[in-house]
Amino acid sequence: MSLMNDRRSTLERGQDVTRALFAPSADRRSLLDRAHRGDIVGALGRVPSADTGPRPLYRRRIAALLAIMGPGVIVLAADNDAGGISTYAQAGQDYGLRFLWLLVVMAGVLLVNQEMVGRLGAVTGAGHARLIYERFGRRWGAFALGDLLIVNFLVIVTEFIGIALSLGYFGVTRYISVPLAALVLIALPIAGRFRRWERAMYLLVATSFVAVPLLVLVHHPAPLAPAVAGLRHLAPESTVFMVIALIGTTVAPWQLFFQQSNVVDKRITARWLRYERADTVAGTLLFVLGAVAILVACALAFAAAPLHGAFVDASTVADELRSRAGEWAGALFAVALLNGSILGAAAVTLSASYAIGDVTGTKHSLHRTWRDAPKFHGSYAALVVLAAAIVLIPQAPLGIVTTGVQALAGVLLPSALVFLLLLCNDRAVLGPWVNARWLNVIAATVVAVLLVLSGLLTISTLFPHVENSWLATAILVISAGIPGALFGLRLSSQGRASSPSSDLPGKPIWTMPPIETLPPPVRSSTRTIALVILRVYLLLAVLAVVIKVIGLIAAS
Amino acid sequence: MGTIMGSLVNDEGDDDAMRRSRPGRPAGEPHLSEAMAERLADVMFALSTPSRVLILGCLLEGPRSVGDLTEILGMEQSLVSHQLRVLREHTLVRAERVGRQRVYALYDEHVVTLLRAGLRHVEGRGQSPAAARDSADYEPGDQAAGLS
Repeated sequence: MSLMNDRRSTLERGQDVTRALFAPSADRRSLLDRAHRGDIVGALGRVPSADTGPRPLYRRRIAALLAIMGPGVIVLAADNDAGGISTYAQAGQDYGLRFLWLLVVMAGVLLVNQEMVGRLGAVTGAGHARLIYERFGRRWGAFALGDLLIVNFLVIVTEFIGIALSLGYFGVTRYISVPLAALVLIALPIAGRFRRWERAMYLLVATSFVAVPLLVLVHHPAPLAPAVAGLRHLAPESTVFMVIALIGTTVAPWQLFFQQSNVVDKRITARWLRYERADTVAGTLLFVLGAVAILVACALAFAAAPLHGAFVDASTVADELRSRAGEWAGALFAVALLNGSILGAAAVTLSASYAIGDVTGTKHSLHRTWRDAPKFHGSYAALVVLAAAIVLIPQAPLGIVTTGVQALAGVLLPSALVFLLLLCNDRAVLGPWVNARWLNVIAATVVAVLLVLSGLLTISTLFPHVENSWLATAILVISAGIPGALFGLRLSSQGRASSPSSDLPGKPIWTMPPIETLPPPVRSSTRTIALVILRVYLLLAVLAVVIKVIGLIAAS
Repeated sequence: MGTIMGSLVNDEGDDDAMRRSRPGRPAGEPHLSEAMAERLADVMFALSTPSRVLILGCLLEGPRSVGDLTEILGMEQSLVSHQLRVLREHTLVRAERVGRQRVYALYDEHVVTLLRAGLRHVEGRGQSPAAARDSADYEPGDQAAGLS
């Protein structure tokens, strides 16, 4: 009997393989690294490259989802990094639950953005930086890459500050904790096994749940009511700044570059796009959970406390949590900060190394060992070591780094989003997978609003004395959002005109042709308008920075 | 299920399955380690894009600068530079300075042989194996490999 069963299952398996082999595959035609082609070897399973057939059974769909899941979950969990956690803590400590809604809105923005880059990665097989180079020319490409590298470097420095603060809470000096963390970070991808790296990342993602019990621990000292009230002593301009800082730390350019390259590296093709979308949704939920837990915990703990409205930094939050909610609360916060910092540093550094390999045509894959891809691992290690070294310099101006991150992120983010939006409407790149009209409207509105808010962030970081009122901000946001939405509509109608049907028969397996065979981008007025706006924005932002620098020099 | 299918249809270089040791191979075959196979596959990957093959074909006639290649092939300069970087990464091409100019050449004699053999292989492709056997450069020893 068991023999019969065996034989039957072997037979079925054989048919499965046959069917899979003849099912149309969505193999990428534009790749830079051979390691980006082959079986998906995820932390929780594997999908052979030939197995692209339909999956009628739920069991098999779940197995595929488990194997494919990863890039979205990792990038969005890593969003709650050192900068993120301290900003949520600050928002909770100083403003109570007032900005909880903003986190939910930001989750929506993240979902829209990350879905777009995930799609770009799966359908094109090329990294974000390379697509910008190919579709917008060398100058924009160099600008995007240079900006990414500088901001990433500064973000990694803030992650090391997070590591130093969190381990400092446990009495470990930074001269031990920072080099140790740097070694761990360099060791993560060095084995050249994608699966091992992803498992390590999953461990960090799982550890990020420590923020949840924190919520339970702090629930006792203060009832909810006072947390909602009591915002009288805060000036409105600092409130606007808080909003902008929350957005600036939540939506960052490295996330776009990271997820796209990681999807390519994980060998996820257009066939698995649905699963990749589920991955992004799961990641967004993780992000909300982590961020809300920190914000609410700090809101509850600091309600009606003397430090309410007087945020200093993450380590004082941990100390204060210990004195107000017990040993465990302080320790949990410190662990969450440490974990977020390591996860963030790993992802941010990797996004830089991916982008470098992507643009220079060198091997860049987590499937490759150090010997196999020395430039990929070398650039990664160099970034980590440099950032760690800066944190270890006595009296290093770390405050300037944090300010610089916010100001530069303000410069880079809108440009990255404009490129993203234009790429997602480029028919040569995405074919039938270009953005739907409703998505364009949402995305373009988001980009326009972020453009205004990031501009404000840049200005208020550089010129703290400039008054920002709620009313002016609201008017600016609305006056940017409406043209943004219209722009999104226009973007869609132009796409439709060139090709009437977005549901071609080959849609599930459509992939971008080799990148060098693409026709040059269509010179539409929409595209020109977007790039002109971007130029003007960048010019103003650079001007603001220059004026600030001149002012600083004159003052000294 | 996934792993079973993986081992059955695994034809790509991938992590765990490739590195696992294989049962003994037939005697007499040249020893090809997994690592060597990976490296060879990388080289073949570099040959898997027509524009890169065109560049190599051009270099078969002698060293060329980026400007020359752009002119001869009618490709964009940025594309030629990019593909040359990929070819350098896979040690198919090397760059050398001649005066103030940077000139690209095929990496070594092996690359020349590889390209020539590849071209000959493709030229004979339209014929049946029997016809190919009659052609001048077909040697009987290749038969087994050619048909398997």
